[in-house]
Amino acid sequence: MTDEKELLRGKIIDLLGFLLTSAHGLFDEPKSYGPLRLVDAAGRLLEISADAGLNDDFLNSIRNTIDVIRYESPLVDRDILDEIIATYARSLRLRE
Amino acid sequence: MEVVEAIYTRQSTRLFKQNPIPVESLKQLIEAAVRAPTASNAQNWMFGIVTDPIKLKSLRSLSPGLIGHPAAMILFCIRTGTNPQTGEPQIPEYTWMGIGSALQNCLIMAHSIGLGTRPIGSYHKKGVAIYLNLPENFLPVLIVAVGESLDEPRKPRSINIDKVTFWEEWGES
Repeated sequence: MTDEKELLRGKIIDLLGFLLTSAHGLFDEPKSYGPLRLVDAAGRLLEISADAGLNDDFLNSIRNTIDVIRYESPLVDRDILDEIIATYARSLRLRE
Repeated sequence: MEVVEAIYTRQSTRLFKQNPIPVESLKQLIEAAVRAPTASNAQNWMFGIVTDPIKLKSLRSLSPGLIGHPAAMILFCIRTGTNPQTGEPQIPEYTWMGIGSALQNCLIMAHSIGLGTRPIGSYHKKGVAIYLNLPENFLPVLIVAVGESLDEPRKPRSINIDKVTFWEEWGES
């Protein structure tokens, strides 16, 4: 396996651990943590994608918004999440 | 930093610098923790310090509550079983109070020497115990992420203590 692939594999393993432990946490933790964990997972996925050189302006702009939620908000704001999804939906039309 | 200032200005850190933390500074945090009150002088705590970048990465993958990339993590554990000092059964409520007091000492000390901290309860206890090869009688309680803070100081919480205080007896103003 190349070094690059090995690095990517390591990052995927880290993300896997985060996803599984988050899933387990949902049994006992407050309901409001669920959106936070999923948004965090999206941010981690975009980090991996950026490290692999795959992010474009669109993905970077989503990542920036997500990072504001991850690092500056104790909980996920429903309206901000709505706006991210709206941006995502608009991008789907552009891809067609 | 004066104690009063440390208490009033401490805040949980979200973004950490990657700079390594001197071993002496980490020891200072434990020195502060073990000076907390502990019922029956049980001292039934254990602190695991992790600074190795590979281990930190793995711990991060087991700790969904961890935001950012701290330079160190301290695992606070309770030693279950009897009181190590007296051999008597431990009283759970007192044990939890002891570890909570140790935590606060650690957080205040960290802030006073310029380190940011963030206590984390959202992590997989069994996974962390397996990964760090903990003995069965070590109960992981929480993880404290430690590092130099990149956060801007936030406005201190404004709290009206009258809402959480009563004097002499309930119902008296």
